[in-house]
Amino acid sequence: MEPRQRRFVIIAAVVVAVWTMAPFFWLLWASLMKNADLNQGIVAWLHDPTLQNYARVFGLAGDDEGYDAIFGAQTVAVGNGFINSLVVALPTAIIATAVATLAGYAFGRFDFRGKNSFLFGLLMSRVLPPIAILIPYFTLFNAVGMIGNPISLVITYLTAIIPLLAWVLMGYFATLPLEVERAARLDGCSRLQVLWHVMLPMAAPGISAAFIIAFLFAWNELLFALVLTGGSEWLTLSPALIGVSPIGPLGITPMVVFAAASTLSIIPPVIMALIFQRYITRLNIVDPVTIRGV
Amino acid sequence: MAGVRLEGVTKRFGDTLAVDRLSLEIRDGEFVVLLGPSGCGKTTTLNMIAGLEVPSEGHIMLDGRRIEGVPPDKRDIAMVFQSIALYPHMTVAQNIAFPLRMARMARPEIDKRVDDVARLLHIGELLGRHVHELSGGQRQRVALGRAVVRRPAVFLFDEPLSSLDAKLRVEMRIEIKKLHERLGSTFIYVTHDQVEALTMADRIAVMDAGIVQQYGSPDEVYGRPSNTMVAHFLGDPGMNFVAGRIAERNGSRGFEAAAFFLPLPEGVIEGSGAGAIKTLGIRAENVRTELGGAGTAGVIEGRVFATEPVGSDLFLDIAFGDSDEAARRLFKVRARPELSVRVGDTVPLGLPADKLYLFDDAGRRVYPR
Amino acid sequence: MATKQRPYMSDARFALLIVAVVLAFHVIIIAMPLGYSFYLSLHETNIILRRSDYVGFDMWQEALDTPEVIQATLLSLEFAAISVVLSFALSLGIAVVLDLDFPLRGLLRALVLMPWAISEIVTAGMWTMVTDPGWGVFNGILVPLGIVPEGFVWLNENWALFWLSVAFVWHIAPLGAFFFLAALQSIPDALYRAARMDGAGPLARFWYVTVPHIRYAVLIVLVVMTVDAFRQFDLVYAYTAGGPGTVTELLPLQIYRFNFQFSQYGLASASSFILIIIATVLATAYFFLLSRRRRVEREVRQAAVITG
Ligand SMILES: Nc1ncnc2c1ncn2[C@@H]1O[C@H](COP(=O)(O)OP(=O)(O)O)[C@@H](O)[C@H]1O
Ligand SMILES: [Mg+2]
Repeated sequence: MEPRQRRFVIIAAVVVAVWTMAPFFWLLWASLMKNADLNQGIVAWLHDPTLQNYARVFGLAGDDEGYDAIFGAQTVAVGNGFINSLVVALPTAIIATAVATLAGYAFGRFDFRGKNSFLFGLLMSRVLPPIAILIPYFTLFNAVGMIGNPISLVITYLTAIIPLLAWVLMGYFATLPLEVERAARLDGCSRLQVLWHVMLPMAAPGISAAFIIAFLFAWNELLFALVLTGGSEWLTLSPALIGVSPIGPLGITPMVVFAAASTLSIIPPVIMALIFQRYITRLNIVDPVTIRGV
Repeated sequence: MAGVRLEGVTKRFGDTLAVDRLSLEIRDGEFVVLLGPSGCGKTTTLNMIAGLEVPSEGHIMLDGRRIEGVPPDKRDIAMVFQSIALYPHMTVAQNIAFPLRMARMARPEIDKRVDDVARLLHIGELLGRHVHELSGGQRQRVALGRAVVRRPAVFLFDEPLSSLDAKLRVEMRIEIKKLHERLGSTFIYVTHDQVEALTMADRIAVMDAGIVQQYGSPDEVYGRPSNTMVAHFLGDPGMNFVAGRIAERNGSRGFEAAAFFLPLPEGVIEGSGAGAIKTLGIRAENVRTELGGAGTAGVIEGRVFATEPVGSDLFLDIAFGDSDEAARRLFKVRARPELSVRVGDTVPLGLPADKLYLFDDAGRRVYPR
Repeated sequence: MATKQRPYMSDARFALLIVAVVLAFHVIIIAMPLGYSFYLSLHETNIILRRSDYVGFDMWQEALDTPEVIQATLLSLEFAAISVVLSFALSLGIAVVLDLDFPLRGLLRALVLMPWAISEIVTAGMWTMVTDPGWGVFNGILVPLGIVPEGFVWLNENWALFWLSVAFVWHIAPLGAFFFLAALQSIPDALYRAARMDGAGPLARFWYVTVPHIRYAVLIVLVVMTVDAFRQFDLVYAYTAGGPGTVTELLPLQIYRFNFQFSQYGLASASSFILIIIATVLATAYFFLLSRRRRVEREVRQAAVITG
């Protein structure tokens, strides 16, 4: 590469890096500031970095400046939100991945009558706006007294995420070599044994990716969580973060605490993104409908 | 141990007729090769025997019993696939052991059998490796091992050597042949490579367009091809054909082509139904180029269009007539490498009557009878 | 005549069995609520009298007669249009950069996906830090330079929708970038070399080699981005909350307000069917385009069987 060209490439890479990372940087920066300092402007040297904001999220900070009296409940909810979100996200991810694996295998591997209609239905439920699903769910759950119950949240999350996962896994299964599956049949596997002993291990990267997608969705989602767990002890992380944000019910909250809570909340997603990144280019999402080798 | 019989087996994929009323009897312990060009239905036939595809019509019998209702995992049939199809997430040992695990065999017995097979196929030192660490030839051996370890009644091979390089292919060919002698099981082997078929098979079923064209020993299909397709597909190069008809010239009857007239003995013509004869065939190695004494059959002349020396032999591409049009349908002749000819020379070619083939308008062989 | 044997379960039947199980599950969790939503949209609920009356399609009519609904629909369309253009350009740009060769490329590839992985709320918080008029990053840098006046409001009436789009694009573009990157990486190097030998410059190579290979990635990115723009609630709620005024009150947020703040259940359900209809149109177009591709694929495959 010529030096001029090379310089251009490096500049482009730096631009991408800054665009991607700058918001993360400022979030972290703000989380280490005192609120009074932040109000003077975020673009300033950190003279006096503090972990106080993080301590508050865990209820470990002393009650200085009367903070707890005003914001305490909201802040404690963030701490609980971590646990609650985990309790919701794990079962969601496990069930959704299991169901979608079966569906993806069937769609990715076999041709059968009516397959196109099924695929269209799958796609339809992928594009449905969440709010359209939420209203009837809310009414139903309200009628049976399941508002504030994590099970209702898991159910709605499954609705929203299974179609997407099935779509992704269909693409993945379609790329796996057909003859290996046939070899397993001749080696004495029943159909379900083929799935278990051969297809699942071979599809492991795709399945892991699907699990991560589902987990991230459940961990991050706001609308359903707000409506279905709002005001209850099962409040999950996202609505809890709203509680300590400027648009929360109090209207004002120290932005630095929100920054600290947000920083903590993105640790699991960021780790998963780093893992996911290895799988995503192998997912064949680009070409999910192409059914190869049937 | 079991023989396999196919009775009128047909397979359609939508509008495609992949296999057309195929009937074939494969005896217990026999090595049968299904030979044919790509897309002629060989894989589909194997898949139906294995139970991986369900025939649209017809029956398949294993050891005299119909097996349409038996799923592949219960058929006691092993298959080696074209793509080799090892389990990528398992080691070599785990791959070979897998069929035994599925059969719920005891651990020590599995280990013993895997060791035996590894020794048989010289892959003992590979057992701990992962599939992606193996070369193409090694993978092929492992795939063989995985098939052999179960000691099934019938082995199916779907072009197992097509992904190997030429040298390795020869080596594995011998190995598979030896394996057959040693195991004595029924082998059904699919290939589009006629050399593989001729060297390995007890009997060859030549297929084209979903139909078995001829079923017989290598000598039979090579020496007495039932039609032009078989005659052309076997042999390298395939048989030469010249279109023409039986006619009379200067009082003797013979084969009249656009470029030459070849007198034929009366017996040849009479026995063959003169009117139907449309094609004359002769193999490259049977055309005589050093013509000393008078040949039994006539001698024709052709122009050397190209020469292809291959070391042990010299192949001549012969054109009849002068036009480029004529040159397109080349006639190959095998000569001795010492023969001194140049492109453009006109050479005399002897076509011995006892080496000639005649085919009718449907391409069927009418001579020799 | 031998006794008739039933062939063991065919592949198709096995697949149908699995699909039937999945579908049953699916019908329960999607079709039933949707049906119920439809039912709600045909009723007017009076929360005080605790009664609900059948009113036919009156609520649909009312939704279409409500200027706010029309305005929100148009805003949603505008938001989707801006976002799709921006995110398409950005994700393709990022993918092209990630496909180049530079130091620490692996690291950057890993990091680029992070904005996609985090929640919309945190995204909103981050962009608040960037655009806040009092203490935000933009004003912190640009005010001292004299480029914008003190306390400049970035999320003003004219530009709030744009900045909402920017935040959305920052969050969503990495996904598109990876779709594109996968497509770019699937192009064999030999093609570029051959094109170079044929005298093609960088632009010609991009047009004749790259573009044909990423055409379907383009299609999918466009559709995914459009769909997600129409569905977006979380980011709007957390970043602008529809403001200032109602200039960023997109349809999903408005439906949320109808239903959960103003208890206009029938109107909310009826309005949500506007969204569903838009989604259906998108899905149909998507499906049509993809299945056309499938036909092409099949023909190519058959050609390969015939020629090879
Ligand atoms: N699953 C399938 N769907 C549609 N057509 C098929 C399928 N499998 C094979 N065919 C067609 O059947 C014919 C025979 O194929 P095959 O048995 O694979 O041939 P061979 O193994 O001799 O090359 C070909 O025309 C092929 O295109
Ligand atoms: Mg084949």
